[in-house]
Amino acid sequence: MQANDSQVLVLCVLADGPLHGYAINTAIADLTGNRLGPGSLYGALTRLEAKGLIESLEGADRQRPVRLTADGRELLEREMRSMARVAAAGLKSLGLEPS
Amino acid sequence: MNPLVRLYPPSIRDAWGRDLDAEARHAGWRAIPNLALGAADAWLHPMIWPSPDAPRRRTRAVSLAITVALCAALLAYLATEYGDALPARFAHSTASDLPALGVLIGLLLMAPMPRVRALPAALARTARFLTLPFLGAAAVVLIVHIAPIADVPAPAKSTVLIAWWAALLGGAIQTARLAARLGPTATTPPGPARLAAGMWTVAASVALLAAMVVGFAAAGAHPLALVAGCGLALSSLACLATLRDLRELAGAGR
Repeated sequence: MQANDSQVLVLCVLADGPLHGYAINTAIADLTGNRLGPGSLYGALTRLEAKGLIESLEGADRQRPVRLTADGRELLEREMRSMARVAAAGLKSLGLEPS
Repeated sequence: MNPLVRLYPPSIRDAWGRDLDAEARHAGWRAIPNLALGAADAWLHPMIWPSPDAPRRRTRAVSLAITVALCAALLAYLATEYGDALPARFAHSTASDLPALGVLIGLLLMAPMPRVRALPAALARTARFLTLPFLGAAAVVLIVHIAPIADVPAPAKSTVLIAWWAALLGGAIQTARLAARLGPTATTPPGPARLAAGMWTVAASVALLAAMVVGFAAAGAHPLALVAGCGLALSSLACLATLRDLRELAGAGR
């Protein structure tokens, strides 16, 4: 795995299209029920940009939107498939059907 | 701007400062620990700061290694010189020289090569950065030679000691800043393999010194040596964090 939990969450919400930091955190809150702390969110964005998994776009206002790169999309797909396999195996062990 | 956002490295503030500030304002006081931890984490990972190219990232890693080496030297000096924190037989033995030699070899392994054309400007900048701490240290040495420190009255003795430590600390900070400022325009940074070899050597040497100092602290129940040993261990962890970043970025082809 090349990304930790907060990085995967950021990649996940960016799959729908470019967003700026505040909107990323709002989308994460919609998904998980919790906003990331500002240090965690911008730490994740800095790491993802350094690894070339996201890239910045020119913002229309003061905020700086970012989008997934092709590498980011590929990594996200790998992570999601891996998580889906683990989730399916876990649910099967518990005798449950995937919802 | 939120004061905690100002604690972030300048390149992160340039890239994300406004967004980070807006998010911190929205989160309020609950964001304080997360912002502070984020700032500390950012300083420990200079390779991931926004950067136009890979050589600049590696230059930052070298600056971190130099900072770690200077911190280690100051902590070891503190533990050796004050309050008999370390036994004299250790402080002046080959065992204590081994980590210092390792750090030196590590720094040499990852040393950036100066660009000949930029050498005069680099030397001028070095002089600008280091003249003040050098003059401060030289003044203290001169004072101590004129009037032996044992004969100096207590208030003046404290002033001389404070001036000595200020000069050492100032010299360490300025050296680390200089290494970061010279950058790829004045030097050719090491390649990833040379950087990793140097960083492993520095990390292992500082960890060895930390283990020795903590061992003496535990045996002698000396708090100052324990503090110095923990500081050394943290310095070593900073190198390990950089090695991890180097591996991750190399894995991502950066």
